[in-house]
Amino acid sequence: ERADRDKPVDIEANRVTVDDRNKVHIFEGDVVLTQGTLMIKGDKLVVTQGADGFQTGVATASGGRLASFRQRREGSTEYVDGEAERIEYDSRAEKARLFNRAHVRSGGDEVRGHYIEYDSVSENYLVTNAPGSTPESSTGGRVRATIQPKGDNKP
Amino acid sequence: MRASYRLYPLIALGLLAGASIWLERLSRVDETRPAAVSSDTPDFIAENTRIVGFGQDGEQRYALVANRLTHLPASDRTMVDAPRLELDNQGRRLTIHATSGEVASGAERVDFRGDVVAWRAAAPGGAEMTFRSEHLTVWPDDHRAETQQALKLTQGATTAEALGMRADNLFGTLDLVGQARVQIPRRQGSKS
Repeated sequence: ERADRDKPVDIEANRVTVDDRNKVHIFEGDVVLTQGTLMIKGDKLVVTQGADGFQTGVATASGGRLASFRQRREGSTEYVDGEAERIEYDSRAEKARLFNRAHVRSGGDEVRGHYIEYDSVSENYLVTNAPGSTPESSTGGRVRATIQPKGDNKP
Repeated sequence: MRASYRLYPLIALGLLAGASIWLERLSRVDETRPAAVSSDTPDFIAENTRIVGFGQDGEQRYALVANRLTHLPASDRTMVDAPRLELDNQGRRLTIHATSGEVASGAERVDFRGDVVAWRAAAPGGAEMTFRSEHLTVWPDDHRAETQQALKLTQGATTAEALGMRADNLFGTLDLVGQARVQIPRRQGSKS
């Protein structure tokens, strides 16, 4: 949702390491980042803070779990949900990049692949098999997408 | 007359012996007297003090100002009322003040208690940092600080809270431990 970017970012965790020199905050343990309707969860979150506030966040999970993100769609009550081994969120570009075992659901639509890029301004997502990443054995590394037909009454 | 003349050495000897016994008794430390009343008895108290410490390079390392300073010899601790410590590290000033403080032997550790407020100058391109808690331990020589009590930090408009903290000013790192929560402001300058 567009208004999210103007909201303060709240981050909770069991532990935070602030690296004053490199302007990096490292959050560890049950990490939850909230900015308006945007929510990112993981076991670890590295936030780089620019001079004008929150810049980028990289969320990862451990023990085979996945980091997750969720954000409400503009002018809708529907949410976009995504999960992956690593999620990079760039608040300036308002893009979420999901790496490895990436999976995004929005309403009835669903995509899976190695790499998914979700643009929360245009609400489009790009899904590819990122070059260089090892194909997912179970799906043979192919991209899978399920896009629901839009009903007549939908704009 | 001759008898008294012969007695004279004896008298002199007697006087000498008496005097030395009297002198010995005078200088003998009376073991039986009780030791310094109790370990909490200060050996000196100073009011409105300012202590300045220098490094081997002659640079001022710290200045400690206090309303009152009480030294306890038994434990070699110094209790300070309303302490204000100024520490300089790589050109950045750190000031800490509190209701009371305790300086351990050799001043390698200072404990601040009660309304502890610390302020650290901004690094180039960064923002100044403030710290608030009820307790803070500082190791001036190691440029380290630590608390195991709830604290609140601000850096510019970013705020952080946690149940404990370890700061290492040499490496510029700071660990917040226990229910840590950080709030980073909305981006300045973005169109609302």
